[in-house]
Amino acid sequence: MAEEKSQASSSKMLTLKASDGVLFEVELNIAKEMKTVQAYIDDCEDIETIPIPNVLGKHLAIVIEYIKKTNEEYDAEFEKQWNMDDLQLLLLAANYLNISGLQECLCKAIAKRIENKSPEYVRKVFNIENDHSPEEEAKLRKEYKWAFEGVDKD
Amino acid sequence: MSPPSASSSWALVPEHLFTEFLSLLPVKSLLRFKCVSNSWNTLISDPNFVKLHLKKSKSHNPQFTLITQHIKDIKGESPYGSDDESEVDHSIIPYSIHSFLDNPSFTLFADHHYLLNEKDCSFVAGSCNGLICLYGFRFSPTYTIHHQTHEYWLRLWNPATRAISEKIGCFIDYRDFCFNFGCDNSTGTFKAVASRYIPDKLTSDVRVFSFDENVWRNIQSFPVVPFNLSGSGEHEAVFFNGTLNWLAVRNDIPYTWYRHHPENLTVEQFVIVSLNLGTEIYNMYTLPQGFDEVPPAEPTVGVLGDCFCFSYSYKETDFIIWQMKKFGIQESWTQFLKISYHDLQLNYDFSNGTLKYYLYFLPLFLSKDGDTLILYSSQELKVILYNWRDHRVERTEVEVRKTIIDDETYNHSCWQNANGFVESLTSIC
Repeated sequence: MAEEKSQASSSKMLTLKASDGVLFEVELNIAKEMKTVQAYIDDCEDIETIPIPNVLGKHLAIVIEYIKKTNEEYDAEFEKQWNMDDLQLLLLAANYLNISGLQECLCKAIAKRIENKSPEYVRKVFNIENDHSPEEEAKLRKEYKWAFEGVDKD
Repeated sequence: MSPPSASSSWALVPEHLFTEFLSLLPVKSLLRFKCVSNSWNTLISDPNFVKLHLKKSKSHNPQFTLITQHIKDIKGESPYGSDDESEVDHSIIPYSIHSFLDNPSFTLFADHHYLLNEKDCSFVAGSCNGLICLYGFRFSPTYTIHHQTHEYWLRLWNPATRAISEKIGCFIDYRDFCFNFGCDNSTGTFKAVASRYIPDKLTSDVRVFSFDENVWRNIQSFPVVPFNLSGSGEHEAVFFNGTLNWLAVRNDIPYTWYRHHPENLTVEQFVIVSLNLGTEIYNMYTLPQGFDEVPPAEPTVGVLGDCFCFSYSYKETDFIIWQMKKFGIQESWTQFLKISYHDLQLNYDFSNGTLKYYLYFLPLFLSKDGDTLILYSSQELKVILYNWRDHRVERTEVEVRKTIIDDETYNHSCWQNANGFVESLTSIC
């Protein structure tokens, strides 16, 4: 009896509704990779449409595709397609939906993008204000002078 | 609630996510990013972040340190070469295991900041959690007819941050002290061990230096004297899981070089002496039951794939590696590999009799997937990559140069001293 039920549920479809109203029909086992959705299902068993208020349809589509296809090769190619803005929104989506594999993949991608950049570039990308005093900054730059060698030009 | 717009929304990314991707960055980038802002500077120096970064570094970027020796001949004035001298220096260079497996033949430049003489140190005691402990010594002015004394010191160095301590743990004593390094697993305290074999008393002088307390403490002598203390010198202690481990042979008579008298030994005499760096108490572990014949060349202990391992040459045909799957549990010894010399494409002529005493292999590292073994061959003085699933062998050629300009220094790698390493932000104080 239990076996029948699980067989039925693995082919059950669920609808996810993105913040801009775009609807996605996904298999239950795909949706369950998003732990936030899993928790929602656990709370309300008969639900068919789950609202995802924090994620645009564009990004939800990417997330769903990731879950379906993820493997080492896919992950390596995956991150190359997105700019920093997309990566940031995808990271927020992965965090909200609680998908650890995707979160790790995106963190690796962001780290790779900034690895060889200057502090100025990093401040610009993350919109961070430089609150070091000129003396403090000069001291750090002097102490780690060698860490500034070979850095990408902005 | 409408989703955030891209340009300003990095501010909406929770701090723990910033911490996630920052902890994946190499040390060089993180040191540079201390300049970004006050809060980034604080985060990067935070001990919890340093721990997280170390953990990621261990799993994502396993490295090893290669010790290289540089010898420069200095011609004296005599035309007969009677006052020629040699200047010897060493470097210790971290390198990525993944990079090595991808491209095992390359030229390694021993950058200036890796040189030991500059740091007034002679050699390496060991490395742990991204720190390398160096030691130095010189003849002390006080010496008697009966013995010469040395002055010893330690220096703690993080090659990734380039921070190095002053000389610490200085003491004056007999020559011939050996040094080892590790950390107490439970507290993370770094410790060094200095030991010396006293042949006429058949005992040893062992002391422990705690970097926290900044003091040397005498402890009990080794219950059984390790191989390397009594003359063979080449193999160091193996740091594993908060313990330092040595191969030793129980013997009632003064121990002599293994390779001169292996026929006098029995398998039962072999034992592993393990010093717990937390309790500073010894344990002893027996070797696998399957180890049933005394090998012609000295067996070795090491770490492979997160397991403590024991390996030796078997008869004149194979090389065997055992792993202690659960450290300290005798029953957990499992034979990991038995590699035939034929598989390694070695065709040695053992008929000359003495080759078997000198031929040894050192298993150094395993690839992440566990399929490729990086193996040092004493006979070829080279490192071999052996994929034991496909039986693929690749010989490597690592050339060492001290500088881009050839300054007539003779450089070579000391693969037998290579060790696992991890890049970290760990502070030296």
